[in-house]
Amino acid sequence: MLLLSRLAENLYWIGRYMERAENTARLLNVNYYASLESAGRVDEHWRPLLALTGGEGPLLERYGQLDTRSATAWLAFDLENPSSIASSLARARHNARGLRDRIPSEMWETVNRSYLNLCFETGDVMDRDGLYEYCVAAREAAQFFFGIAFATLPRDEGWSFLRSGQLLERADNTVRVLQARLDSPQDPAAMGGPADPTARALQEQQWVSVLKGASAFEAYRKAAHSGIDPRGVAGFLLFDEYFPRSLRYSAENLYDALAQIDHHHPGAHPDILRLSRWLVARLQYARIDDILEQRSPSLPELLIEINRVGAAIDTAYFQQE
Amino acid sequence: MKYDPGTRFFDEMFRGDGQVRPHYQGVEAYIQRLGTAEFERRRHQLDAAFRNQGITFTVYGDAMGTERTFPFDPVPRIIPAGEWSHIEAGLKQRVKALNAFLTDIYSGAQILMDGVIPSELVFTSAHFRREVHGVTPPGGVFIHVVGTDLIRNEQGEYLVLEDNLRSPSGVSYLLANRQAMTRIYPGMFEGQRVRPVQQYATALLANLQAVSPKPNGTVVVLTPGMYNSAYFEHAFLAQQMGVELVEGRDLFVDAGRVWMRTTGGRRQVDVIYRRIDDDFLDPLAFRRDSSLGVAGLMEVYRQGRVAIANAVGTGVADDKAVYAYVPDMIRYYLNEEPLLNNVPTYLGWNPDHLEFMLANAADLVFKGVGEAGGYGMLIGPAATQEDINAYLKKVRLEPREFIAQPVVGLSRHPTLYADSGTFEGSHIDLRPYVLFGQDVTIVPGGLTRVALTRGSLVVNSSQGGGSKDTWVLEDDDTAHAQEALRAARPPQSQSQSQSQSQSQSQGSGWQSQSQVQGMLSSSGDGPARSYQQELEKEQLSHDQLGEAPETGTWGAEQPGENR
Repeated sequence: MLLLSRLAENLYWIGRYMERAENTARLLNVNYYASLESAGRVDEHWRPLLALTGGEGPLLERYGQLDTRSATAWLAFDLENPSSIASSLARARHNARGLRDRIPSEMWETVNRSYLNLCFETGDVMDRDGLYEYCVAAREAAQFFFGIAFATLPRDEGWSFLRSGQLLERADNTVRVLQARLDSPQDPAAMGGPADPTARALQEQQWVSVLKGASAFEAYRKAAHSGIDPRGVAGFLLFDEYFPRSLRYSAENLYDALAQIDHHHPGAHPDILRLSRWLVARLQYARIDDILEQRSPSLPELLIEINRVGAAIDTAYFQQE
Repeated sequence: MKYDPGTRFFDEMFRGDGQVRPHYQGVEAYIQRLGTAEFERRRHQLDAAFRNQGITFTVYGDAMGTERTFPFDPVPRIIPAGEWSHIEAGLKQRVKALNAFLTDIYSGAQILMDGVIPSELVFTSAHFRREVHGVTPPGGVFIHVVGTDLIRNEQGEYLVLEDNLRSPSGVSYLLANRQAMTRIYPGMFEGQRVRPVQQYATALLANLQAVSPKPNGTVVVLTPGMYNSAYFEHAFLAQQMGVELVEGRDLFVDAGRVWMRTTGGRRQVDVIYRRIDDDFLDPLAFRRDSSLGVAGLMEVYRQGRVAIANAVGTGVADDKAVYAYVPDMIRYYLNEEPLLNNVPTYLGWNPDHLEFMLANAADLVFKGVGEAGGYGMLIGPAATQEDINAYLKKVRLEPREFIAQPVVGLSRHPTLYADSGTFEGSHIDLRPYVLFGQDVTIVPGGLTRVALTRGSLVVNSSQGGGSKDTWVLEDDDTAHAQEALRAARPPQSQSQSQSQSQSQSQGSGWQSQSQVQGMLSSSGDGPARSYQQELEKEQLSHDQLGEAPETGTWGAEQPGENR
């Protein structure tokens, strides 16, 4: 079963964009509701989330001020923002359109429906308090899409490219979310925890948001049995062996997907497997202190390694002859 | 069912006395039973289904994305078995003659030496490709897929308006329409014995595989890309056939073969079902600025190492001036009388015709001979005197580039109008799809296009045209077969006068034929005719299904009598 390079690239990117739409929807929803009860300053509340997607500069340029309304519009519906939910869905759909003959019609239809329903929204969603429904619809669109893929897409090379894109995006997202939280100026004593109970409550709420943003809150509670401490949360999101959105789990599955692609062309691109296996090995053996204290590897380094795998995939499979 | 068929045009469903024609009785009873409100409600479901499935054509400059669904009317157009077998025989005959013509033209050109068709007309056609002279395509097949536009005149006779021999589009709508209809109105089909159409993709694949230079060759569909207005169709056909949908950038030529780029390296390609015009196929042979094609493809084609469907250079045979000679081709190559007549056509190339055309412009429809997409037309009865004068100036300068035809009154069909909640008559045409190879295969029916805008006579999708499901019935009881056939076949005398006129095309022309009333439609070669994407954007709003805007009835006087 052959696969056109262009279609492999489409599949990889549709995996990334659908995953991105889902991640942004989840983060936005969690942050929006947290902001309603937030004791801190509104702009500080949104800054870490904006940092994930290119910072607040373009938003300020477009809306003039950073507040809850501009931040949500920017992250949810604004097609000017290349990583908004609407942009991600529109790009996913663009890739799916190039794949219409390749993917099951049901997969195409679900992307197309989400596009028609979610990519032409304007601020009125906010006026009718509809952000929650909007974010849920976007998250469900992605979940439905991957669910249909899981149930109907043949497990050939195309599947592995879709899966690679999804997992790479997820790994990237998890690291960025953690990094944004840790870099946040509100977290000077992240590792120890402030003594002031008000500050501690705020910090705890922010870390709960981090967990919820990865749909990890319930899983973390079951696994950790302890309070919400930053080291525990970071350790869970980085290293947990069983939670499907942890960095380690994503990296392991990314390796598996790439190994399956390699089966179709044995040994053609050994570098991809080496890079991806190296990432897995670090996550299997590193401790939380290595990353947060020794910074070996640091979160930015992990991010670079993840994207090095992405670049290697691109060179090997999408840019040939 | 409340409906006024009128008397001016041939009505497909009702006779002049207001009685439902026998082959429509089942559908009429079904609609009565369902009630107009429910019938209309289900139509909305159908629209939503088309929208979600993305069964669309591309429009630019539209806020709601760039795609629209093709409007659809759920009252099916029904063709009785006897009538269909007449159409089928006529189309087979015509396509055989056209393929023989192309074979001849690109080799010895015997028909020209015998003086049946003026060689000047052929060699001056913009779509004649001297680059492929002497090249016999695999299996001797030039026109693997043909979309012939048929209309019915006021008497109900089927006439050929146009042959589309390059890459006719629309067949995906035919298939999608049927699928949607059976889902939304299953009861309508009960007991009707409607012939199936979904075998098209299988037949197309077999037809393409049959011309592969090597056994079990790899077939691909070549599309200009997702911005092409017919992209849905390209993807749909590739999916239904289970072959790759490729763009020019996925292919390359090396070592005398065509390859596609895959994640596992190169893979040889043997048959290309291209939905790109000749001009854009190979920048080394044709337009050098084309980025849609494959550099070096033509050389591989000349070596016989890749099959291209339809073959390169077929456009010479659907040139509108050459079209006028198709009945003569049928006589010449097959030694048969044409079963389906042409619409009478005046050639600017012929000085006598030209004189008539210039004198009667206000009553005629003018078309550019190589044009598609509705460019270069003049609808005399609808035009102002300035328009006519400006147009005739062009005609005088380059008479070979123009033809003119009388306006023909297309048949009408009951169609549901949502705003009035009633059925009204709308003009329709029919584009059957013919697969030509070892055998000739025609999917029963075709795409029926309908002018949905009230009062409009334009079936073109850019002008508010839509489509209908088209049924061909398995068999007829003798009563309707007889009745239908009387209308569908050419009246004996008319057939003769036409053939005389045809054979005397150097002579004074057609005035006895030009009973003008109604509309004439013209259709180009599909959105699949390739444009580079930028070019396309300008074009697409006019060229949804790749047809010319089609023109309506103005109750014009009969031009022939006025000279």
